[in-house]
Amino acid sequence: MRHRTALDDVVFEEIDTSRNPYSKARPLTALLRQPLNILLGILALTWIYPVRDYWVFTISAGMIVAIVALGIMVMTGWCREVNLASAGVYATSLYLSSYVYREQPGWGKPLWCAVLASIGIGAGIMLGVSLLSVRFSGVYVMVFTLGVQIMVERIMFTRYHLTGGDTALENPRPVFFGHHMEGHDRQFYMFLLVVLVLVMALLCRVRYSPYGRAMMLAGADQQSAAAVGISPWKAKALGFGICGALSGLSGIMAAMLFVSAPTTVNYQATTSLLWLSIAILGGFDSMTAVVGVALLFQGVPFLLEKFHVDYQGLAGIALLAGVLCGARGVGGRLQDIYRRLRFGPAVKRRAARPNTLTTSASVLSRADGIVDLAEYGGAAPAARRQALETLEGWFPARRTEPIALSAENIWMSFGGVKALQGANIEVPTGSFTGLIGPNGAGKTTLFDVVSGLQRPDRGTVRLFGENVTGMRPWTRAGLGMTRTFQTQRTIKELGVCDNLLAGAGLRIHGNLGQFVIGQPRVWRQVRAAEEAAWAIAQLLNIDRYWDERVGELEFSARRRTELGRALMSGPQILLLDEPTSGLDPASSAALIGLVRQLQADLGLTVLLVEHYVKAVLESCDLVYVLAEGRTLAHGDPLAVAANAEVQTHYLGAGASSSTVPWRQRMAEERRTAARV
Amino acid sequence: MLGFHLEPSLFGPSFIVGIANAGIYSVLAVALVLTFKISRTIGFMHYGVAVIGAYGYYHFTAEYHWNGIACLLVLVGIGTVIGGLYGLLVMNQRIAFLPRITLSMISLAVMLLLTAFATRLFPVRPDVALSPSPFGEHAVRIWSYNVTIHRIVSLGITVALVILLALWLNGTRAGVNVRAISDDVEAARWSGIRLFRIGVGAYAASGAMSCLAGALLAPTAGTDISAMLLVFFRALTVAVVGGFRSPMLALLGACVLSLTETFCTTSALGEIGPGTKETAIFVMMVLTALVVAKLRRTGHRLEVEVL
Repeated sequence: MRHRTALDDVVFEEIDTSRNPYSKARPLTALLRQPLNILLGILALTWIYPVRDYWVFTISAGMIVAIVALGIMVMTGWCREVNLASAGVYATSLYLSSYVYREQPGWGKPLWCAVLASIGIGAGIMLGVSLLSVRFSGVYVMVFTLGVQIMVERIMFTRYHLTGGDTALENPRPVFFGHHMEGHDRQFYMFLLVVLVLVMALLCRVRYSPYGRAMMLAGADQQSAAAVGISPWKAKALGFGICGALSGLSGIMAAMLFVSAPTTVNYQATTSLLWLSIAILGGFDSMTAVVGVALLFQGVPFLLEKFHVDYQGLAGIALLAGVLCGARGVGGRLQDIYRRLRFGPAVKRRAARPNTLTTSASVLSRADGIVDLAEYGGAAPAARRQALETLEGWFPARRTEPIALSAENIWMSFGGVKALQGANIEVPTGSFTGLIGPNGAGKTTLFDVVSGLQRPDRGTVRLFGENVTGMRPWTRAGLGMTRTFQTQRTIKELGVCDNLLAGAGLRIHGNLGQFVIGQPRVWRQVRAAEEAAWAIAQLLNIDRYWDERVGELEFSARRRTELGRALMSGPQILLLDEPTSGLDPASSAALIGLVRQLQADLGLTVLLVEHYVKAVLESCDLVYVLAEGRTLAHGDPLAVAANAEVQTHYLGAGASSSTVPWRQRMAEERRTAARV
Repeated sequence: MLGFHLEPSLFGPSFIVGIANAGIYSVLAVALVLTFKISRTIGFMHYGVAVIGAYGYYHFTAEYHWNGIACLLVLVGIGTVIGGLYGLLVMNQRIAFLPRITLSMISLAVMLLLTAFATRLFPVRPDVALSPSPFGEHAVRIWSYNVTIHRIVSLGITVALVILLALWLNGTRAGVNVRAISDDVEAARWSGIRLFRIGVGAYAASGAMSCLAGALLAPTAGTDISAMLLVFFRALTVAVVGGFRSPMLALLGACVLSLTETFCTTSALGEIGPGTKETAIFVMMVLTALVVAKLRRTGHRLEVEVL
């Protein structure tokens, strides 16, 4: 008999679960609802009239730098790759596109041609660099981008017919609707403001679209991204492309603003570092902060001219300050302060949103470790029913092939170590299958082979009968197979909501253009994804953390968030690699029970690797035992536990299972309930 | 313009000059390798220390007319102090275990601050282009080609440094500790290795090397910041080519890169423009890194971060 806990006596108020209160599926509307943004907008439109011309010009230059910095923010903050070539790309676009636009020396083409050329040049260079990120990441990409910068300096900056050398080349300002902007700094400022606002609006839409979340997940962890159907390379290439395109766009804007093309000295590697420091200090969480820092960087040295502020020193201090602020930068810090002032501290915020009364909640809150699985058969509260109804619409139709997954005669070695030696496994559709074995038995390697992270030396992997051995992990995910990992892998800087939605890419259809222009059909899908994420959060009992950052949550909640992200991809088969690793026995049992219940409710096929043998034997329909890379035994949990070879290799001699399998217990409970 | 036209008569001199030039690159590269072994990040701050070395050497010799060797010794001391101070900062427990990208950012920030500091502290006189070599201005004739004593001694210093470092890494307890930290910082810490002490020592030593490299650069590259950045990038390329693993490989990488560069510059392979030369060096770096990644890949398909 289980002990009563304080939570058993608490009557929670049921909350309306039909819609979650923090919709981000209308990003622009959400921004316009913020009074601070409206205020900033009014300020941006009006401040230019009482000030002197040179201030308007300086801030216009700052806005151009802000566009570059926003691009760097996408690459550094979202994709977590450092770009040290932004000044080179910017300068290349500036000189080449002004050649397209200028009459003499140049081609004298219309402005829109120059703008397209500029964006194309920037995006093209960065997409070329992104090819390198297929094989490398981190500091290597940093070195390669520095190499690109040096190459630009050697190749581009020595072409004096393009750059003008010491004699500045004249670029005309644009003519809009017959109105020439030559000598009208305020009007040109307005034009730049419109461009900047458009760039921010487009980036905002990208950020809350599946593409933005894919970039962030691929930046945080490539394997997790691949596991939910995101091609990390494509996601990163998109980030590189956006960064290059924005550098290009700012290049042509600079060509028009400065009239006399600036000399190449301004665009050397140290300038790239300066712009990088703007993006780092601003942080990836707030575009307004990045723009603000860029304007400050342009304005402050101008204000403090008599002190001869050194740009390198300024960039160094900004980078250090950015590192101190963390990945979310000054923008993130300011948001934290604002949230704290408006909604109170995290504890208070969570208390205001109590757990919904689901069985999972009561099981997870129990501390005695006794999991009464019979409870799951009882009547579910309204919230739970509603959540499951929502998910019914989200998950694809269940497949009916008898065998969901099979791995036949898998061999895999790492140098001299033979991790797998002809392992076989077959997972029936709709089953809850366990995979156990001693450390080093090859369980995780088999998981990696099955999910596509490792290519086997020999053997075949089939998913619903289809041979997927040569397929990439994200292609397999597209066929309905998702996995979690032994170590906890979430985007710590983002909230539970964003982490869950990062897994929804496979269930939302639409190209980047449709999201950017705001086509209602694709954004409706995002709203549906939010509903599904909210439902999953409720089932996993993490809804109270909905807008809390994952890095600040307790371990078990992070685990459940990761599980929720996997569920958001709408899998047919879910591979769980030691989901209870790092949890105490009570939480472990509760989590396994919760997964078991979700499997039954959602009709999933689950393959579970677990060291917590008692839970596996209690919960699984079928158990495989792996030892020394071979399948030692498989079958009914009771039969496996009684197998002499399994006892010798793993469970220990004389071990016997006193546990009753889940289905048997459920049937017993139902019979008892019927009798009563 | 790319026009390959082999000039066999230039092969010998190009080879000699290329090997002699390798010394300049590899002193910085060895410092980068040593720092990488401790932190598994690229020590961008070495560029800042090298700028202090170059500007300091220029300033002391041009302004105060100090003896070149004395200058070198003083600057090595300054480099040791700066490297040690940086080590104190980044080997601090709160910082040492930060992600590598964050540590690289700190390194970049310190690099910028040191560069700004150097240009402020040691202003350059426009009338003096290059500072005198500490080893004299005479040249040695090798294979009918004049090679300055400065280049030869620089190479000698590098070779000596590489041998000393290799002996230290393989033959001393501290060296083995450095290798252990390079493999797994956490495991090394729990094995009782004094991470802080070893780390600060390694940073101090690498700071000394960077400052020495900067001072050795001043007589050849002058105090042009962009020229120095190019040399730093070359050193970085050398370290990448050497796989950031051993000083010996870094020296080898320096020789390969320097030979490529010299053969392009001396027209031994025909008239090759600066852009083509730079592209060739970049492609060589990428290809070598790809090969190193391929050789080292034993893990997951997507764990492609070779560092």
